[in-house]
Amino acid sequence: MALSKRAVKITKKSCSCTMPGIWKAVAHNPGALVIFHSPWGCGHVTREMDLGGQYRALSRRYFVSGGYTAPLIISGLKEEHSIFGGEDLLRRCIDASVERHHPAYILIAASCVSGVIGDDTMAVAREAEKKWGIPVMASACGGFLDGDYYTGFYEAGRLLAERFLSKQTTDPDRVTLLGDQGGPSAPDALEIKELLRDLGLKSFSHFPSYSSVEEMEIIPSSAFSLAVGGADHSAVWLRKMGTDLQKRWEVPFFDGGFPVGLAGTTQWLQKLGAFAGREEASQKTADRLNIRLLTALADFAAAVKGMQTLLCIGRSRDFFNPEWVIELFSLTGAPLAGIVLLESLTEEQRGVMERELALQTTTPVFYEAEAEGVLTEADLVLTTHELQDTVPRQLFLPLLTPVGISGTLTLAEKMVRMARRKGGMVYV
Amino acid sequence: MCKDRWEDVNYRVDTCALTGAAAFFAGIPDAVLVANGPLWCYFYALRHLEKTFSDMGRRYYCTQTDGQAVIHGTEGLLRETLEAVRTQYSPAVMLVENSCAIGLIGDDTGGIVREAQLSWPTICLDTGGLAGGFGEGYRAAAKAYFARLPLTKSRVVEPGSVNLLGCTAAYFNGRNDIQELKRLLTLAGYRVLACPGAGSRVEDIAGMAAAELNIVVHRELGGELAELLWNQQGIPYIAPGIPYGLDGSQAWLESIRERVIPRESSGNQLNRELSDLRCHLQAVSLELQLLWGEIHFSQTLVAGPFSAATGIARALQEEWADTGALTVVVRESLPCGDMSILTGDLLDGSADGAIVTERLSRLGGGLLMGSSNEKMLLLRRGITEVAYRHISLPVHDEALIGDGPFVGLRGAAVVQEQLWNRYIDLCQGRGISSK
Repeated sequence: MALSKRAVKITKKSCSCTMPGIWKAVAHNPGALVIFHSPWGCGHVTREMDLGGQYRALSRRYFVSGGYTAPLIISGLKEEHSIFGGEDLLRRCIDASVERHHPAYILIAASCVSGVIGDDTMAVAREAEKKWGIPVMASACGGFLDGDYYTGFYEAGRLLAERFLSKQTTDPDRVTLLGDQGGPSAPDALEIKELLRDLGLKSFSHFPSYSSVEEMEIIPSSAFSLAVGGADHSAVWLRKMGTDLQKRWEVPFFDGGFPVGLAGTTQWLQKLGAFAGREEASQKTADRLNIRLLTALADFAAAVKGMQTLLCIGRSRDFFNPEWVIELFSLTGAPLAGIVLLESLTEEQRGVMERELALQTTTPVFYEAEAEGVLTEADLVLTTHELQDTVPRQLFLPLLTPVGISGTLTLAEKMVRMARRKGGMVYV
Repeated sequence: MCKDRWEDVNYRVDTCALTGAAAFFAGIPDAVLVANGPLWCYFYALRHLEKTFSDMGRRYYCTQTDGQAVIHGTEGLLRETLEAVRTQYSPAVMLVENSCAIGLIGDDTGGIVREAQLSWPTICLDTGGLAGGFGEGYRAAAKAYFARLPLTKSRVVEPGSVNLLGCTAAYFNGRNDIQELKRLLTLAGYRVLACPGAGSRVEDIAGMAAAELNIVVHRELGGELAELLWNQQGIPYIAPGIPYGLDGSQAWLESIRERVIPRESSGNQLNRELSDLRCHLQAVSLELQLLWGEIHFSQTLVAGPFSAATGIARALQEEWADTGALTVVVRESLPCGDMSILTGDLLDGSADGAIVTERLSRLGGGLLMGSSNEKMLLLRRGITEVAYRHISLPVHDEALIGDGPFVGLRGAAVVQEQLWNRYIDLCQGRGISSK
């Protein structure tokens, strides 16, 4: 049986919290200040997440020094507040934060603890706004109780849009990007900006992130908005954000999914071309991408020839669509020997994934419990989870679905590199 | 008087009590842990611990509570998880720790565990963020452990034997430090009976009452436990700090020798090693000084857990370098009223963010001994002409594979080597850099 080095967890529930999503939404918005109405530990978790992102940028050579980082202040709920309530603590925390940091606006994220205690954070925010004369907004979420990271991210966007956007004259070439996906200098953002540039469009903002109040104000001047990228799970919330902008500010939302893999990106370009009235440019871009990818993959099949390759999936369909991985094999003619569904999937998640795979490929699918033989014989495994050392060569698939064809190129490059090695684990 | 704590969390990287409590039990190899809370909190504790405990993912479970569980209780989820443990393990002890929201809803976790009729002792604790940080969680877990599995009263003292309290492999380089402390004590002729929360199995811990002395290593973790074991078991204790540097190690051993006579007169080997190492380090340093001059910095900032940061700062000043103006930033809240330290400023990372910012902003040409967090604060400000050395978590930009400790005799050589190399780098214009 394939055992994970890091034991496979069956993730039955969402594994995140709204607070870091709220923080991340405005973490680099000039003038923002975030307060977590929570115990101290929640701040550590968010700080760790942010720090990890900054080192990821450093390791991938897109770290940019300078820039604004919003102060993150923790009200510091303790056991005594579970009896007497924490509203007064929050009031004092807001006062101290305004006096110290002079923010342009404050966003308050309530924790599960304040949710259970029943603190009325919105009422406290309204009071503070009157007192200090700056926007003080509180989310309606309570930590993990009311959603996950993306719920919080959306909630922050909703609050900012309500407060700062204003009606503008439309700029026909301006496109507002929705979502973060590693920030403005990350490869995904650069890839999508390049695609838009090829269509003669100017990308603007990363709403609700990386935006000053002045930039947010002119978002309604955009010809339309679109989501930068992500998984189906995050798409729900980014779509909701785009739909909100459309309803309230008459900024059309391009609901064409994400450009992932060659077929996905081509399809996305075609839809976008039709949506923006730039069909010719989008077709040219798609053709160029096709040539670029196939040229880059010309030697791929030969390089991995003879390798018994498996795809192991342990993430649910909401978080992982295998299409772009399977596409690499169909594009190049390289054989994919089988697909193993890992035990980290619940029965229901496994069923959803099986139905999805049936639409995408005829490759045989195995359950982990019966896959010992194929796993033992495998030379190379593309996997969403680290597996036991008996599988010699492993490529760990990224948690965030890569935008455009860059993910396919990176995967192919690393597979070729891995094929030359005797074993080990490589993170794509 | 204690200060208000509304500082930017950028300067605070202390984990919550959930991680601290889990760290104590993670340090007991035959223990299993269950987090009764949401996956988000659990994953952060797990990620923190599995950097040191590679088997953590297998023996640390989570009930995966959601909003519904907060309304209807966690009983079903906890029962399900206990069943999973029962089918996979037969641990010597188990921790069930409630996250903060779950602690608040008042589930009778102890009752649910009793009903499950497990064949091993189980300790139930509320250890979420409401309970405090890493230290609070670790201390609460340690006390709860000894309340549930008390040592036998009638103890026969084994001469020359000691226990180490307040150690954890969940601190940066903690595992190597623990090994060096044990090696040092063994070389000095002592027998180390147990290190609860730092590698000893339940059976070893049960035998620790035979020790002549408890030695507190990290005061913020082991101080209260030492007091408890003194009151309950009559085991005397000392808290001599952490043996950083050669002189520091010698002084540490001396303070133990004042209380406990070694079992064997094997001190010769220790003395020989000490004297050989002293000669070697001196020779290497003098050779390097001829070319590079003595190690000196205009400013030094040391950041980490209380005992490690203050201990390293002291050794820096007394043995390793000319530190210039010295600032020590401790992770956890400072004990109010207890501000005694060496010649330098002692800051509270949770309350003195503005001063820490100011000190970091003028650290150019100086030395930073801290974590990836302080380093990133410098990088974001574009301050790169700084010599840098990790001494505390979180660490995102260095591999720790070897067995070199920071403490003891071997640690003195390791740190001195690193300081020289970082200083030579700095002299050549190679400080920390984002490129």
